[in-house]
Amino acid sequence: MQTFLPSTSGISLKPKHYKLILETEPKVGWFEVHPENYMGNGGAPHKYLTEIRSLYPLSMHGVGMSLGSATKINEDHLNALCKLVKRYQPQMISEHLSWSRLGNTYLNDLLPLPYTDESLKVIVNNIDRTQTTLGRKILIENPSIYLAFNNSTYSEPEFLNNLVEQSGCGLLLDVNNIFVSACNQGFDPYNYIRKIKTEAVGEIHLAGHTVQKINDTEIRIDDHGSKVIEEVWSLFSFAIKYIGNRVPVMIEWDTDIPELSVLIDEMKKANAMMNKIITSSKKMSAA
Amino acid sequence: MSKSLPLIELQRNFTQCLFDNNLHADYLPLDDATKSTNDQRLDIYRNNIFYSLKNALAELYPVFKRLTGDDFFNGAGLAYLNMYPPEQASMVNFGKTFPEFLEKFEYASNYKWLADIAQLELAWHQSYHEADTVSLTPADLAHIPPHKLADMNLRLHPSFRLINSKYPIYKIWLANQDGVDNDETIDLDAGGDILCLYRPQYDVIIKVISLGAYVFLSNLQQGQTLGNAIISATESDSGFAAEKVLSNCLLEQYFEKLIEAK
Amino acid sequence: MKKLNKSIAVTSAITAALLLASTGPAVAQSASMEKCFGIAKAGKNDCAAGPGTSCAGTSTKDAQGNAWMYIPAGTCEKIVGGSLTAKK
Repeated sequence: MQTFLPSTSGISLKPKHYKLILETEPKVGWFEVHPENYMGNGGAPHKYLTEIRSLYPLSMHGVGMSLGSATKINEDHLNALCKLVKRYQPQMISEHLSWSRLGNTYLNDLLPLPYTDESLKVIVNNIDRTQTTLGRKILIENPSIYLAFNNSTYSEPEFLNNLVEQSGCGLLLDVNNIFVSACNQGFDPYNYIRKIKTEAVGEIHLAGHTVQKINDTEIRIDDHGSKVIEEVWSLFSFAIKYIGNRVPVMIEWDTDIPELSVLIDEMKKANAMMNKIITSSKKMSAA
Repeated sequence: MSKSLPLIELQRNFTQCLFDNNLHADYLPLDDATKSTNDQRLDIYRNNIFYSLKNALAELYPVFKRLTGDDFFNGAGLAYLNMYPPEQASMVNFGKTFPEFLEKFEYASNYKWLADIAQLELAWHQSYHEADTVSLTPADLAHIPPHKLADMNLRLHPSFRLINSKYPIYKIWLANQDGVDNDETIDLDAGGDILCLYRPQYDVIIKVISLGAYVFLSNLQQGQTLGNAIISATESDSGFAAEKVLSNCLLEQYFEKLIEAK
Repeated sequence: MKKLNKSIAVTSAITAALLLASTGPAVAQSASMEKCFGIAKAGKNDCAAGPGTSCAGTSTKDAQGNAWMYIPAGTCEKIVGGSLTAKK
């Protein structure tokens, strides 16, 4: 059964905030978790997630499937995800356009892929295996890129569009990642969004990042440890205008996690921005 | 145009680069547009992996980290990660070979007790994440004749762990909890700690137990009958009071259910 | 005979244990959420990047050259007796 997240904003669910969420039941559209953090057999993490799931919609955003691995995806991991999906019935499941496994070695990061026909075939097969096992569609997210390969024959948005067409997956557009990659690799982030098939976008991510200098080059590091920067808000507002609809938007925060209220304020900002754009574009089309 | 490297080869080479700092970015078929910074860009991926795994290890072994300090922890952590890179994506299962690594780690050979501390921290972590189940209560056994019970096994709660160390690891563990700050010195020769850990609900509980209780519970853990467990415990600890220990285990909810012995 | 004695001892110990347990205190329940649900440990999987290029020592090849790194220098100092001599 395919269910959907509400087209409003949500935030990362962090253990640090469990208690306050249950005590105050704040107005949050939905929560997102990494299923890998709930792959233990039981105990407190499951207790908290069960309680919070009974109050809010949930999205499971995987980081460990390694869909881009040339070796087959790990069936144990897929089964563990399946078990969690059955238990918690999330409204959305997503993963990344990346790889992190070579044989039995798991490299705990989202590593870059060359955008070639071979990569496309590998990842389409792995998405297909995942979607068939789960019995539902998943979304694929564009990663933050620090290195690109010289044998790529597709741009990233072209590659993603092909993935959508060939696997039937949807897209999770990480606007911060687009901006980070665009700065790091020297492409136009607006042009990137213009190339994306908007009807495939099922969710948007926003987060903060940091800037570091290497020699004279600025490199953007996607550390999810601060507020969304102005340039990314602008790109987000362009993305919403371009998509033309409300989309579930998520504020990610993984490093130096602040008070819950800081995440909620970012979430409200995203909502307000999205509402303003959609309302004014509806008025425009009515006039 | 050069022939494209097969994806499997590229991923193999990339992995090699991540683990070997002597390899440079030119080992990979990278975009020339960023040539002047590709080495540093590769370092970003190296850092991401080792930093995140080291953090996961620090979360699992906070007492070990506090005992040894940041430098030693980083060194031991890196050596461990190179020798035992994770095999599973979920960090819940990561790091369980760290105590056995420490036993053989040459720089820890003068600190044998550190491996036992790590063992205790691992047991705590595993107990924390183990399956939830309803515990056996004294009432569940009330209708079964004692001689039948003697031939059965009481299966321990999934979260139950036993540790027998010749070092005072529980005292060390308590003195090095987050927020605990005292100048107490602990004498390593003061005698060992025998411990059990379990989680009747959502909090892990640690208890110091007697040698007899340890023998009794490890026999049950290995699938022995209740009768044999009592006999073994009595033989190894003359002070073992079966009725007290067993009733205490029932009240503390150590058991999951009554099963056939192995 | 010895075996029979043992089994009698075992059965009576079990009988006594059940009796003791049935009259023992019920396990106390606490009302605070921390007590009910357990402490909330942070999960360690996420999709954030680390500290970028500024993190020192990315492989053991670098680290192992520095023997000074391998002298424990934490609260280890407070453990006395046997810290320098290995026990068998």
